Amino acid sequence: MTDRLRAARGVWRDRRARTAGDRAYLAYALVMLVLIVGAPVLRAAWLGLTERATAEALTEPGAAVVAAVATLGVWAVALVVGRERGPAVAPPFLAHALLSSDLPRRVVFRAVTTTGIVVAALLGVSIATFLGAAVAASGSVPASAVVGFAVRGLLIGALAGVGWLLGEAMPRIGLAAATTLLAVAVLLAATASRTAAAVAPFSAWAWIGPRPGAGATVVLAVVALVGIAAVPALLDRTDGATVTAQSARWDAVVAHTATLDFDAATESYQARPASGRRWRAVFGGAAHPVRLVLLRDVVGAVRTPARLVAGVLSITAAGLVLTVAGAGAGAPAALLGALAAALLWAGTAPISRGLHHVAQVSRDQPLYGIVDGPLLAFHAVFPTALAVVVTSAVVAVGGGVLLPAAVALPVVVVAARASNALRGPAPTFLMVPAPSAVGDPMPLLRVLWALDAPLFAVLAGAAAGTGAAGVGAFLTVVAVVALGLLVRFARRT
Amino acid sequence: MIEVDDVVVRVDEVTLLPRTTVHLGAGEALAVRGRNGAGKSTLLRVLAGARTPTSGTVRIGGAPVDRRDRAFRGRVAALLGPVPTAPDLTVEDHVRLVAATWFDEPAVAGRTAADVLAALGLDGLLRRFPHELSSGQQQLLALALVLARPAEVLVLDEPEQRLDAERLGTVGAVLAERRDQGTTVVVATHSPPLAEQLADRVLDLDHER
Repeated sequence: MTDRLRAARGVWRDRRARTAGDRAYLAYALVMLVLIVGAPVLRAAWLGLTERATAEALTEPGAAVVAAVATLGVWAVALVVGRERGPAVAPPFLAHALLSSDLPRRVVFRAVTTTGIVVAALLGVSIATFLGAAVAASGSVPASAVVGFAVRGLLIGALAGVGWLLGEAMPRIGLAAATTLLAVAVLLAATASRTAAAVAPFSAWAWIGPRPGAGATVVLAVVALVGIAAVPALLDRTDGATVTAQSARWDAVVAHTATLDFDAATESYQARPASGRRWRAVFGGAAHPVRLVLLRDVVGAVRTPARLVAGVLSITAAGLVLTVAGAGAGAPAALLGALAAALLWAGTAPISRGLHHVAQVSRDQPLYGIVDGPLLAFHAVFPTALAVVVTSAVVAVGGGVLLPAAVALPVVVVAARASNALRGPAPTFLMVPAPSAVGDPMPLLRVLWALDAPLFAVLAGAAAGTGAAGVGAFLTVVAVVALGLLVRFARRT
Repeated sequence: MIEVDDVVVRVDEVTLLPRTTVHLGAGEALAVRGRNGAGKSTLLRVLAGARTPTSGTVRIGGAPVDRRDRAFRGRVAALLGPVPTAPDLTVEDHVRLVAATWFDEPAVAGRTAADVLAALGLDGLLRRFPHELSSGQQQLLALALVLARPAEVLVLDEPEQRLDAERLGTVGAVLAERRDQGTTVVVATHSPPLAEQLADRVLDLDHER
């Protein structure tokens, strides 16, 4: 870091210095989050993974393909995310000041990019070590095998970090690389039975496979080192306008998140349509409102094709996860169901724009000639129908064990989305501090209130993943979501 | 058509709208004038059903104000601020969709939308998405959405916002035409040219205090 850069960052840091109290509160909130959310999830995952049946499934040859597909998917996602929010960003004014100076970008963004890649590598090593330790604990592999998991996880994570930067520095090449990786992943998944042996050395699972795959690890290490060596050059290639735009958008997201306005935060990254402007979206009149609204929603979704494809892929992945959940039982099935619901939540976003818009309008002056309730219901038709069809088709092809869940879960997720869209301002009592012997629970309650809809969707997924055993819990969540939806609709202003 | 009798809006000890009485018949246009904070927007929000008066009565078309009521929704069209737009619809889609939800006959809806778009000079922007519009163009789109639906009463809060003189003249002419066709128009405005072009009467809230 040059003296000038150090001085500039110093000025910025001093202006935004956190007090000791702020730091303590942040630490307290993080510890609470880890204890309340992280620990139970990790424990459930550990219990599920250390079951003999699960451990055996993870060590069979087919698991190598799954791991390879997941790794390719992670790299592809990193490349795509970099196009929207890469590691080289700074607060908008600081970014402007530094970018308009003569300081080289490899110097300006070295620290923040290094941090980003290190975090990605640490995530990789943590996840891989967790998986390796779970498999070793079940006795399927020797304890020493965990080292292999850790090394490969580290390299895969570091490469994901480099891909993240590549997506920001070279968006077109990043997109092409992501598309290629996804294509290879799909090809591998489609020909899993024939490619399992060939893929095994390139995945973390090779360590426990028939071949140790040390050579593959060396290849992975060399690629990762080459990638890390290219970081300064990639930083120099980053476009100033891209960094400025990404920094401004990220700043807005942080501001929205701090005020718990997660809708506005995610809206910042929603693709804006630029194609399909010549297509008609409105057909017919009020005499056929369902057709009118359905066609409007379909055309609207098609106008952001990449977003629509990403949504459908996410819903398809939800179907796949439900299929896998149908093959298991207990904690992993619940976790997989929760994951399926999260994927459905993400996947229905691109096809719920009409629903979201009408929810906004219903809180405003009357605009449409159709009454709010039916209009909301009509706008729920497209996302619900598409999600149900895709999810149930995937589950049916996979054996159809959780077919009822594949039909019911998307309905609940879309209902939760509608409830989320109708959310008004936070109730006043949530804004009032309530000190107690164990601290102030209000910040946590405010977060839970802001995230209640996706959380209930995930809970519904956890219940749905366990099949018949979870029907009672599923219906309870359905009742809560329905009640919340009705209350929010009645109280919209 | 509009009967406002002794209406006051007060929050705690703060008076947002001083005691106001005004009656308007069909085809009349009222310009509500006053300094910032005089209560113009509050009066319009009361008329649109977005704010309940502390005291006094308001009736529109002989019925109390209730924006959940279907008849009221059909009778009163209001523009009180930025209209939530759909990011995935073009300008033409927006106006056509609003018209389509109010008219059973698609041909009538299509013709109404086309007329409004032409009258406001939005013909050249039909295929733009909302994020591709300037702030003045967004104001015109908001006005088009309000005008694309049938209404006996138009309630407009500063429709002149962000419009250049030429566009303001266009908007004034369109609103005057609606007035002449029998629509009651209530406009809060800081624009003397618009008030002069449109209003039969002026309610000066500065003098009500």
